Amino acid sequence: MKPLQSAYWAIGCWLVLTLIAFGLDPLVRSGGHTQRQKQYVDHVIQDLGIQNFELTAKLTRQQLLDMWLPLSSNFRLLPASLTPVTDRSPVRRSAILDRGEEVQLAPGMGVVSELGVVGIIVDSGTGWSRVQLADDPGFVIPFWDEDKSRGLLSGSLTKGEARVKMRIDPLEFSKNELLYTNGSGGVFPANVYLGSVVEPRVPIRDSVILLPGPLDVSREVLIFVPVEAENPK
Amino acid sequence: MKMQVLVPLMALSLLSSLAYSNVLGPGMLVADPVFVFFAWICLVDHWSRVAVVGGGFILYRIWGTVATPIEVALPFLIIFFLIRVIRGGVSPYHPWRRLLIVLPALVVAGWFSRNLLDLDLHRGPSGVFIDLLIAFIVSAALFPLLDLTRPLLRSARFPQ
Repeated sequence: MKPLQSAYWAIGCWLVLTLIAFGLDPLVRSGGHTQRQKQYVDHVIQDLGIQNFELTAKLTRQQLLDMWLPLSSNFRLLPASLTPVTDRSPVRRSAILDRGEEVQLAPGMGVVSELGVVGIIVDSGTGWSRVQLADDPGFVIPFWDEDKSRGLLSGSLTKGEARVKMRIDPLEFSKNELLYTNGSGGVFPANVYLGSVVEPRVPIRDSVILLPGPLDVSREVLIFVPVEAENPK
Repeated sequence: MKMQVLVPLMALSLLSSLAYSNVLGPGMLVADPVFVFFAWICLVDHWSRVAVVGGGFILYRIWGTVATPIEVALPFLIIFFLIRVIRGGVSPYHPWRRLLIVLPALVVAGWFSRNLLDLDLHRGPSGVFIDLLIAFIVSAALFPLLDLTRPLLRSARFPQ
């Protein structure tokens, strides 16, 4: 075979290998967290009291507003559609909203779905906003548990999971412990569901926390717009 | 110089990066096909081509991401710098020995990326070993394919 022919064959082989990987992608995606997803679903049903049909069905915007309105005393709630995108940086995770600066959306505002925290807006323009998803390794948020013990939660390199950066007391988790936002920072109100501890470990930073996922699906979301941001005076 | 051939090769490496990101998971920090292709170009190619490939990748990745520009650019700069330094002591033309140049560059670039993301994401010696293994597997799979494409890059000084 001539060298030029070999070169084209090599490119062809590379392309085929890439296409095979694309084909196998759904298998890889589904295999990883089956057990944890089951635990999570059980959890939400038992502890949060959300009915089964509500988990699977997409809530309408009005239902979403009704759901989050009791928590949003210092915020204005703004509905939007979230579309997951593949971030160009391979280990980062982001999504796009269909609303932006025209409705005063700005970086630093919190985004929630019917299940809990989705992420934070990091950039916005006219008609779009970019959201850093909660499982992005650069995402950091203060939390408290059911006993109001505080700590810092961060995204991780594994999709759909988070990890603890810091916790003051106690220095270990119990299994199926639920974590919520504590309202500090002014991004989210207090008591928005963040995730549950599916694998408590020592040291605590090795514990596996499952986020209210999957985060990378198209869905209706709400943005918490701080009242101060709306009326600077 | 056949610059235009770089375009499909860059596109293919970006496509591979997209396709294998779920398979490799955190291993993408050290074995991203884009980094491996860039390392292959850095090994023996001309400055101009290294600049085109590196600049192209950085420009592509700097938009449409939540990552900071430093986070995007630093791994490419580290790979380029380390490969150019280490190749002074190891032959970049030998099919296996050149991995001794590429693997440390990829692992160090991955280490910096990890620490730029979050200092808590560091791993111990076993993590470094796993990083080396993943980088070795991806490099050993891609380099022979890339070597076969060298007749298309006519002026490149790749092993005959």
